[in-house]
Amino acid sequence: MFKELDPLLHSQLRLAIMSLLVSVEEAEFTFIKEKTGATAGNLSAQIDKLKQAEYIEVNKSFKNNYPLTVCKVTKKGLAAFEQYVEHLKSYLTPKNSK
Amino acid sequence: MDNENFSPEQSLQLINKMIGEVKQGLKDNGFFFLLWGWLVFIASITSYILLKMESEYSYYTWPILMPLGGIVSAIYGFTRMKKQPKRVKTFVDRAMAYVWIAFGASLFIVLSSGGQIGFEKVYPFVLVVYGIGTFITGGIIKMKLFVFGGIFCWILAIAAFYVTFDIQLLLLAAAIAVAYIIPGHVLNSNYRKDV
Repeated sequence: MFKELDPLLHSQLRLAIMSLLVSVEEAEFTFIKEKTGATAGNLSAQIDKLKQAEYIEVNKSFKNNYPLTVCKVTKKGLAAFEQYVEHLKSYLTPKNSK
Repeated sequence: MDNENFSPEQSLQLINKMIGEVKQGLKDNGFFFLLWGWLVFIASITSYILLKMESEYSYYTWPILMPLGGIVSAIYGFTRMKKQPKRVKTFVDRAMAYVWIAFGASLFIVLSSGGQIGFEKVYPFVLVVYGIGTFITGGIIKMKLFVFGGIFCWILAIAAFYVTFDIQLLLLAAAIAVAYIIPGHVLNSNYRKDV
């Protein structure tokens, strides 16, 4: 059986953000922007959605008079990501092996 | 990048690509291993030669070269932070920071208690501390060369307890070459290949 994929993660940019964040402790907005190649506007919107779902934590501050946004994956986000990957496997492995 | 109808295969590729991106940007160029490795190597060899020449200056190599290393490290660390600020923090960064702070503190304790434990026991203990630093680093960054280097330091540490002060200097030079300089150059050439 195909398992349902979390719609919040099954979106290219949001999945890219989460994949970056699960492999680090925290990352700055500019880092995520550079690695995903997304526009600032779109990235902000997607980060906001992930934050609303409590998949990530967002910390806004200032560094040398420039705004600094730091993102970090939450336990809930990590669990959701792991489940997403687990469900993804049901699409990739032959049905009879499951 | 906002297409919601992408296949599970594409999904998996994207996850792999992003995780790879993070790994790519975090490679170490081995600068500190090379700087300290070569400084300690030069200091111990020079000290050995001066000792053999019966020069009264044989101990002066350390108070000259080690503060020099400290100054160069500070300048390098500061300019690197200015030029390419770290925009991401990983578990490896944090683990490495704690290992090398522990290393520095332990080294300081050993070096400063020479009068108490006896100067002939200082280098063997220094070798023990050197081994701990590279052994754990090798485990964290998954580089066997550092792990073997750490074990090599410990073997030489055992030997160092049984030999005279001048031979200890040679053991120190050998340990630093195997555990710091060689892996440092490998780290550096891997880094250059990727950039």
